[in-house]
Amino acid sequence: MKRRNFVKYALIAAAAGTPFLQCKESSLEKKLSLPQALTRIYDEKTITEIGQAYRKMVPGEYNLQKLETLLKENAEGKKLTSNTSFAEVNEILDKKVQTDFVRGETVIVSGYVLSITEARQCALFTLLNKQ
Amino acid sequence: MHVNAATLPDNSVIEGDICIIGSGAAGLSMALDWIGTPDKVILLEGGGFEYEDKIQELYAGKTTGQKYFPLKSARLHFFGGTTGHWSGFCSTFDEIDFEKRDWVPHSGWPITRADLDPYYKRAHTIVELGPYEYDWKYWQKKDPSWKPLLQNESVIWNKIWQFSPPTQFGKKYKEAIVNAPNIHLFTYANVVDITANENATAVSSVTVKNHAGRQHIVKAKHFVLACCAIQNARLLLASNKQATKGLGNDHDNVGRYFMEHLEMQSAELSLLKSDPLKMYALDFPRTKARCELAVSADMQRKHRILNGTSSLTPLAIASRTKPMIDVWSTDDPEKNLKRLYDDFGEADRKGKSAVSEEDLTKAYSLFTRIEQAPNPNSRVMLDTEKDALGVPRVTLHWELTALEKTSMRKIYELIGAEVGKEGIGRLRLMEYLRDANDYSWPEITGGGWHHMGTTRMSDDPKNGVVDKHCKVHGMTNLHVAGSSVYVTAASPNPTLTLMALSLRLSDRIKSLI
Repeated sequence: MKRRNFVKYALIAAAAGTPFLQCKESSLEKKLSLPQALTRIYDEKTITEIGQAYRKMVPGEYNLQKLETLLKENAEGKKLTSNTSFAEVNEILDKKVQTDFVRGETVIVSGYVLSITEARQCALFTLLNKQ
Repeated sequence: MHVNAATLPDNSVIEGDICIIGSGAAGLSMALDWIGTPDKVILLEGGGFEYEDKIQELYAGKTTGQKYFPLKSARLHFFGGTTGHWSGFCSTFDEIDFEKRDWVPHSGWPITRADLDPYYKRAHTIVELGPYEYDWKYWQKKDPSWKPLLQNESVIWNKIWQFSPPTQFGKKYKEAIVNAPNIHLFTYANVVDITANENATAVSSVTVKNHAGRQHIVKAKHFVLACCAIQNARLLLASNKQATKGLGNDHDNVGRYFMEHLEMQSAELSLLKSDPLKMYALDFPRTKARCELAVSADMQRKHRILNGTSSLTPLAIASRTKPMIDVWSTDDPEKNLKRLYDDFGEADRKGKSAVSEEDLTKAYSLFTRIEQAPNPNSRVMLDTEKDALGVPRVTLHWELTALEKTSMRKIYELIGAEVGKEGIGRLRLMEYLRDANDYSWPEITGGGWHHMGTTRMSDDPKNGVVDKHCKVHGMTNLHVAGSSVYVTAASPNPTLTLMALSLRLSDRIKSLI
């Protein structure tokens, strides 16, 4: 998917909860797997490349349950479920990303300086979209 | 006045109060400062007023270690020196650059930034810079479209560079020098030997030669070596009749601690929103000032890294340029310069036509300018081969350390974290910086043609060649002007600081005469 299309779909999905991934429409995993800033900058291939590189760096995290648990942690006291809207999930994760950078919880994945949360989002994206 | 030394009768004796060896930025800054004084200044230039290959050939030498530019073309050898084709980048050293930093071996100057401030101001006039203002907010008032990339400057701050037109000293100041009654410029006067007294405590004369076969003697009360970091060390080492290891070299420091700035593309910054980043843009030669992203002193201390800055160029353009180390690869400096400008021009044209205006200003290449840590193994040595005038050529062994690599990597981690923190975009390190355990350097590694540190300054003769007044330790009347006295290299291009140091030395010698 070209970057512009990817960004478009990601934004639409974020705004309206529209499905575009090859997984269950209402799954929380899907909502957690879109790093908002990264999808506005990079294309799907890059997000996948980051996800794959993160998998190699931290193989122990590379499963759906583990990544979902980690991404749901510290959600500002809110419980993230499959009923939580895309917009709300994104808002919470954006804050988590911001907090990561402020706290220095960053990671260099394939040369990208990322927050740990968005690196995990990329890993989840890759996991959900593996062929 | 001007005399072509090739036309003087052989074995002429030239006498004056002060003899300045070299007419580049250092030597001419000093000479200009002596115009109208009652003192007779002998200014020696090895070449003439224009480029000549046989004169430039005297600078040829070998390089070992880290790949470097050909020595023959890495500076210019005629009146005005390398200002004959410099790009005019000027900035001041930071206070931390003068400090002893326990994580930077051999750091610590015997002077402070405050010692140089009045001389920086004077140097500004000579290279036709704007006001002595290095706060970006001053410049923002002149151009309100300036907008800092980062709001928080505690980690990464905005360091100002000012741009000289660029002043080509040879053209700008020829008339002033030639018409000054007390300045006696001798062209085609290559110093081939510095003769000291028996105990090597003072210089009694220098010997000059030229391709016409004429040899002359120059006598003065004070002598100033001002012919670039490689040549200053070369002359001291080659002048070994009274001191077998060379003048000023009792402690084997002459030629050591050669430093460059590492200048290379290092990372890519992708912005969430397009931004022309005018505050960081360079429209050569129209730009009068711009900023580079610099690492704060606190962060340097915290992470134990070197000082460095990063400039930003649209990625679509920068990614189409060739590494400077590859472009500047012949022995002909003029040819290299043309290749460099052609490469920039082509990249600019192709880059701008390849992407939309929006995309052009959405992704930037970050280009590093970082100090090299002082390293005694990085050095200028005499070779067995001699030049046409009988002076041993040099071998430059350029050697980097792990600290440069770890520092460069950390700088981009810090910038990357800051742009993430402020929600501006994301940064990606270039491949050679990604592995924290990799201390090797890629093929694109290059310098900025900035030669520094071969006659370093120290209060202790065991640790340096010159004292804090730029006088050679153990000698009463031999002084050194130029970036060879640098203890550390800081991140700015060296010209402004070497001029400030030269003007300070000028004041010092005036007080001695």
